[in-house]
Order: sequence, then C-alpha cells, then structure tokens
Amino acid sequence: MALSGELIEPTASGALGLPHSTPGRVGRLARRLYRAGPAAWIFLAASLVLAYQVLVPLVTMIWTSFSSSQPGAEDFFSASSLTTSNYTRAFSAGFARAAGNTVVFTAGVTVVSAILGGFLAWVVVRTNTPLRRLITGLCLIRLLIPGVLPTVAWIGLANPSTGVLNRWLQDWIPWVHGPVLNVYSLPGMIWVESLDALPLTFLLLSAALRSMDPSMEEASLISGAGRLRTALHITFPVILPAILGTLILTVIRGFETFEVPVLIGLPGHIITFVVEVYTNTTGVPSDTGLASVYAVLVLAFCVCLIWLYNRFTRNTAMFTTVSGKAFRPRPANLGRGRWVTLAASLLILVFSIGLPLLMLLWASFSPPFRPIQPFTASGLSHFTLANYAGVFRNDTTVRAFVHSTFLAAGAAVIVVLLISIVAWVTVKTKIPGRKLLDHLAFAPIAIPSVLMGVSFLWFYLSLPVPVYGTLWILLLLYVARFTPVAMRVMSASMTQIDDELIEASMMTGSSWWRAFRTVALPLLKPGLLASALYVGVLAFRELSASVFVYTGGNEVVGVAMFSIWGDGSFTGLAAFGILVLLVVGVLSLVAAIVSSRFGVRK
Amino acid sequence: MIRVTGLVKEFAGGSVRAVDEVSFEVPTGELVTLLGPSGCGKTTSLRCVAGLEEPTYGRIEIDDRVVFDAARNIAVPPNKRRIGMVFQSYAIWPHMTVFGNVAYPLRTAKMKKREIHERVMASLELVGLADLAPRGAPNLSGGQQQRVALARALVAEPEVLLLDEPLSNLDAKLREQMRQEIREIQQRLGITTLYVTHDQIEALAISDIVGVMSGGKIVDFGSPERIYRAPKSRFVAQFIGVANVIAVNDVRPASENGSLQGATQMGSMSFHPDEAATPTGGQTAVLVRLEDVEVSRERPTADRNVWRGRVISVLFLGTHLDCILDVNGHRLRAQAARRTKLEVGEEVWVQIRPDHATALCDDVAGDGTGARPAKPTQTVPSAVAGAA
Repeated sequence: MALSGELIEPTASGALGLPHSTPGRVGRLARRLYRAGPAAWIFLAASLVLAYQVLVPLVTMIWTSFSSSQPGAEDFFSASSLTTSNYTRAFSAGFARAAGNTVVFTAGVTVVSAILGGFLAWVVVRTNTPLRRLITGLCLIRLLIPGVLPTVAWIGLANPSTGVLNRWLQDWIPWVHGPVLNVYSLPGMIWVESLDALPLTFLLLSAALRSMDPSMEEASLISGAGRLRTALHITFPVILPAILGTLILTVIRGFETFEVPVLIGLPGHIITFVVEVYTNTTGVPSDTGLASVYAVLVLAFCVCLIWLYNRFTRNTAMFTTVSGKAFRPRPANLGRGRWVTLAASLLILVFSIGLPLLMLLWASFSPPFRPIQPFTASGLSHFTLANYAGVFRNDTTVRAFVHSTFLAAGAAVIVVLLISIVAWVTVKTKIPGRKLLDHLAFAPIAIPSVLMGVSFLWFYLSLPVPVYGTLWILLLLYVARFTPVAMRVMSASMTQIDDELIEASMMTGSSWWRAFRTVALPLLKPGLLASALYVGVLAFRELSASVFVYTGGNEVVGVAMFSIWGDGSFTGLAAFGILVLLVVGVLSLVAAIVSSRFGVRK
Repeated sequence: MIRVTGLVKEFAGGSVRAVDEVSFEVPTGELVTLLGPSGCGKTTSLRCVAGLEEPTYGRIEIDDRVVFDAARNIAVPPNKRRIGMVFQSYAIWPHMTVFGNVAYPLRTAKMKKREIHERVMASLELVGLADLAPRGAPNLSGGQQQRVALARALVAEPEVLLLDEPLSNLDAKLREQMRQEIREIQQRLGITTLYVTHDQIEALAISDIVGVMSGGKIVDFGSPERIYRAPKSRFVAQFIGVANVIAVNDVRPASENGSLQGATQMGSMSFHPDEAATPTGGQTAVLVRLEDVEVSRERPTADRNVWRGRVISVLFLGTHLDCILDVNGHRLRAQAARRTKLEVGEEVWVQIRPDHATALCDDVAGDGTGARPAKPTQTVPSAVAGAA
C-alpha cells in the first residue's frame, strides 16, 4: 500500500529519479565548496543525514543477506561470517511457490486495477457522464483510507464461513448452497488489492488522458477516419507510453504491498515474497538470512522497474510533442449511454469504498466476539457501543493514538525542516553536487516501506546505540520514509520560484539570506504547509514499515489496528478504524483547506 | 466555395453565444481570413465549418453541398466533409514518421500503395520536406511540423482548406517566411481557403478578403486595402494598425466633392465621409493613419488642414521616426521620414490631406481622445495574443 499515498499528484512525466553521481575533480570541488562558506557546511550536513538515513540501512540489509549471523550478534560485522548460503537456502525452499504467487498476484492486480481505473479515467476525462466530480472525489478519499481497513472489511464480507456477502447470496438465490466467495484465494487477494490500487491507476491514467492534445484526434477525423479508426490508430498509440508507465507503477505497488498478502494471503496459505520477509523477520525464531534474501530480491525488482519507468516516461516527454500542458479534451456525448457509464462507475466505487465502509461501520456497532449479522433490521436491533467503549478502555489503543500523534507531528516538523534545506541548496545556490542532494532526498520513494522497516530494524539492532525499543526509531523511520513524499508535494512550489525573483531582491541591495527569507520562503510556505500536513496524515496511519520496528509499549495506530485484528476482534478493529478514519479525515480536510486557502498556485 | 449563413453557436446551455448570426462567403479559389482578438468567435466559426463543433443554428455549404443545416437537421460528420485542416498545435502524430503522417488520409481512403507513395511525396515536395519523409515526427522543428501539417491537409486534394492560427507557435522570422509560403501554395493550387488569426499584419498580408470579428459577430468584411484605409468602425480601425482618432464637432458639408468640414481641437479640419453613411448629429470622429500625417519644416502649399505643432517626443525606429506632436493642445501621433531629423521641442508644420482623413460613422459620440484612446480596446498590434 506504500505507493498509494505518496503519488498524490501524478504526472505523466517521470519524476522518480535515481541518484547518479557526477565525477568531479576533487581539488577544484573542495575549493568551490570552501568558497561557498556556511552554505557548504549545511549542504554537507544535509547530504550526510539523508545518506545515513537511507543508504546505511539498505547496505545493512544487503549485508544481512550475505551473513551467516544475525544483526545484533557479536560476529555480525566480521568478514568471516560472509556466506552465500542464505541465497542457496532461499532458492531451494519454497522459492518457486512464493515467486509464482507473487507474479500471479502482481499481474492480476495490475490488469484488474488498470481496467477498472482506466474505465473510470475514461468516464471522467472523456465522456459527459454525470457526477464526474463525485467520482474523482471518492477516488481521492479512498487514497486516504489506511489499507488495513478495506482489507479486513473484505474479509468480513467475503470469507467462506461467515462472510456477509456469502450469506446474502445463499439467502437470496435459491440454487446457491454453501459459500460462493472465498477471499482467502489468489482471486480474492487480487480483487481486494485491485480496489486498493484503483485510485492510483485512476489518477495516473486520467493524467495521461488529459496530457493528449485533442487536436491529434480531430486531425484524424478531418483526414477522413471514423471514431473507431481514430481510437485504434491515433488515441491508443499516442497515450501508450503513459499507460505503460502507469502499469509499471502498479506492478511495483502490487509487488511491495503488505496488508493484503499478510492479512489474507498468510492465513490462506498463499505465500508471497513480502509474506516471506514478514514471517521470517517477526516469527520466532526469526530467520534474518532468509528474510533479507527476499528483501533484496524485492528491492532489486523494484529498482529495475523504476529504471524502466523512467525510460518510458522520458519517452513520453518526447512524445508530447508540442507542449506539456494539460489539455481540456472535448468530452464525447454518450447520449443515454451516459447513465450506463454512471451506473458502472458507481458500482465500482460501491465495491471500492461503499461496501467496505458500510461493513466497518456495521461491525463497529455489532456485539463483540460474535459472528457478524448480515445487514438487516434484526442485526440493527443488536447494536451496541461496546466496541467504541473498548477502544477508550484499552491501554494499547489509547497509547497508540498518543504515540502516533506525537510521531506524526514530529515527523512533519523534521521533514519540512529537511526539505527546506534541500530546497534552499538545490534551488537557490550554486554549490557543486547540489543536484545529488535533490536525488538523495527523492530516490527513497522507490524503496518499498516493508524494506525500509526491516532495514531499519536490522541496522539499529546491530548498532550499540539504544534506539531500538524506543519511539525514536519510529521517528527516524518516518522521517526517512516521508522525506521523498514531501519532496514530491513540494516540487511544484519549488520550481515556481524563478531565480530572477531572488536576484531582483538582491539587486535592491538585500543580502542573499534576506532575499531567501523575504522572497523565497513566503512563496514556499503553502508548499511547506501542505507537505507538513500530508506527512502528518501518512505518518499517523503508517503500518507496513512500523510493524517491523515497534516493540511492546511503543505501539502506533497502524500497528494497534494490526494487533487488534491478530487478537481476533473484528468489531474492536472496526470501531478503532472508524475513529482513525475520523482523525485522518479531519487532518486531510485541514490540509485541503490550507492548500486551497494559501493557494498552491498552478 | 464556402458559404456560411446565420451561424450561431451557443455554449453552456445558451448562456454564452460564441458565434452570433455570422454569415459570409469564401469565393472559390480565394483566401478569406477571420481576424479578431481572442474570444471573438473566429476559431469556433472555423471549427463549425470543419464539423468539429456543431452549430446551434445556421447553415454551412461547401461547394454547393449542404454540410450543415440546423433547420433541415443535416450534419455531415467531419470525416465526410472532404476538407483539409491545419491545427494551431499542428497535431502531428508522434508515433508515426513524416511519411506516415502525410499518408494517413490516403490510407484511410484505402488507396493503392503506389499511388499513396506518389501523392505523399508530391505533397512533401510541395512543402519542401521530401527528404525528411522517413524521419520520426517528434524529431521535427516547429517550422517542419507546420509544413508536415500542411502537406497532410493537402494530400487528399480537399475541396477547401482550413487553417486555425497556423503560425502562432512559430518565431517571428519563420512566421514571415511561412506566411509567404502558405500564400504561394494556396494560389498555385487555387484552393478555397478559410484562415483564422489574431495577427492583423498576417491577415492583411495573406488574404483576398478579411473578416474582422468581435463579440461573435463579423464587424467588417472586405479587401485588406479597404479595411486598412476605411475601416467600418473605431474598433476595426484600432484593431488593425495604429491610428489617430480625432474628435470633430460642428460637422457640415464642405464646398466641393462631397467632403465634410468640422471643428477639432487642432482647428478647422476637412475630411471624407465614410463610404456607407454621412455622420449625423453634428459630431463624429475622424481616423488618420500615422503615415498620413505629414511633418515638415517648410510651410506646405495647401491651404486646408495645415497646422503648426511642437515635437514632444521622437523615437528612432530604423525605417522612420515615430513622433508625438502637440497641435494646439491635441496630441497627434505621426511617422516622419528618417531624414527629417526632428528634435524634441522643435516647431514644425503638420498637414493631413482631406482624402487621408476618414469619418468613423459609428463613433457618433466623437470623444476622440487622441492617438490611442483607452476604449473600446487599447490595442497595439503586437500586444494581441492568444487564440480565439
């Protein structure tokens, strides 16, 4: 679920840059750095912090995969422990099964979410279907829902023994006996994950559709071609690169996603790479060797795909020949057909948002630790507030709320400070290597959060500093995890600050620092504010990285949801989840108001 | 021939009239330009002719074939209208080669391979791009894309050619060159052409007939020469070129050949009535082009329309001097010959020949506030930007 949140403003042009170092002549570089004065020291410090935060844990992860010892053990860092036995072990035991499941799951999610998301994008961008803004709005709201909740809601809806939908089907259709739907299967996993990936594919594909100049199609009509020929020979080939870019992002997302494989796949004995990483890390006894091999495989795969993505989107940039501006395509008049497209779109959204939310609400008021009644009046009569009371009586959930609030606020402040420095250095100074800093801050967006989690765990386990077992490791993790996300939100505001604005201020006699403070910072402020709130929202609900590094007593909201589920209390989780959604909803609303009020100018 | 009758296009459920009762004709083999500021309805009119936009009311005929008639419920789709069109963004398909782009209309028409090849190459030859045929479309410069778009529009030998601001994405030098090339090709093929632009110099240079549009209506329609010399309204006068608009009171017939006479701030002035009508109400405004204000040190021999003036400012523009004169308190803008070497503060003679001064009959109020009044539109030639 990691990529879902962070690509909130998808563009057709590739932005997932990977760092590439520029070889420089060391002496001259040092001299130029020296001349840059205090700015250079800040630059160096920021680079070191970013590199430490991301690269060192990843190196630890790779080291772990070649070590016969465990992180934290005495001989962990000695060269004598190096071995390739972890790899041979991994490739012999269950590898083919995990690989097969991962591939089928990922491919299925990619195809299904591309079809559903592509359909919604077409409806919203290219047709005159009513309620298009509502469709877009619901997709954006879906992005904010923590992945655990719809996943467990679908378990409640479609599990073979007590699933609400299963019982419905049996009650209403006479020839149906026994459960029809089984969420604990590959198709079930693909369905649930596709609905979760849907908003992302929708946003990316609608951006792709908007980026096409409508006169390309008109030129084809004028040339004598009909609608079908135009669609096949012009529309589809022109937006193909953007579609491929979207598909690659969906593949990455399916590959690294945590909630569905662990919550559905694991109990259903459908093991994927991410499940291997999770079970081998958190199981007792843990097998860091195997876990790290799978982690390295996931990382390698993601890096390859990001490289592919960059290639495709670079071609896209070349393909959008005239300008990169978003066009306003003339929507096709579907006539009566527009009610059909509206019904189909709403049906998709019912599956994606409506049913899961209804299920959660229903469950949150249902009597605890009993099978959940179908949505009927008799079920309504058993309604109780016990679950909500339970949330406030439970030490863990209350503690988790407090921890997550603190961590969200802390991460937001630190991330914004960090990216301000990065912005200051990369946009406004001429320090050599400043682009590298930009890349360092941005590249981790490609690293799955599961891998961030395990690499932090292993790194701080093997470090003699007492960070593991405290909240600080979570704070460090969130800062590393969300800096690139904030960079992405910020990048729009950053590019709008033209060099000449600063130079104009300096020409009036103000110092460089004064120019930055009085001209650049006020312009950056809306972006910084929006990033802070956005990081806050994401940090508040983070699960897939936190689940690896939390320890008893240091639970956060995401982990608390996860462990309530582990305790077998669906109704308790539902109540807690509804409360979390309320907090996230309010935070997002504030973020939306702030960014529209202070105008993230286009 | 294109004939448009009573064309109306409403948007947003009738609340906006982009095109309002427009009628005009493009005679066979001629080039008619629709000229106007952005939002005046010129592009919408063109798109209605193309069939990309469905008019609300009206009728459109192409070569005596009715392609649209709201009353009779006829609407021929764009792909059946046999027209060629060049778009403002060129709309060159990026996934095809130059050859593929130009061949597309012929392939759609299921022509034989050999014939396609011959005609595509002939068409590319026409726009001077024959050697670029195998190149990928994204690797073209702006001017080359423009040529490909033109070749593609012409390759199927359409009955009419439509051009929607084809030069607005090119830089100034190239624009001038392409302007000439398009006119040359149009005349060589003798193809009936409807051209849309917001650039008045482009319109004057390229057209047989110019139709000036404003607020969804055609406000003037005629030869470039006539539109420049005797525009129908103040709006047209100021949209095309730069001009002095002088308020005149107390208008009465002058002694000879139908000319008029009146009182201005500069003094008594003789001028010509508009072709259509004589100004009424005793006051009007008179249009004088900058190049028709004659500035000299010696007193001109004529006895009418000669005044003393003082030079307020002089700009050297290479071909001429652009100066502002104070004539009895009226600010008059003029173009003086480069060699006169006027100096600021100098006293000079000013002459405006009566047949170079034309009454603007729509300007009854005659508030002629000077060389560049702020209303209705303050328009400097190069400041008009954006598409309609």
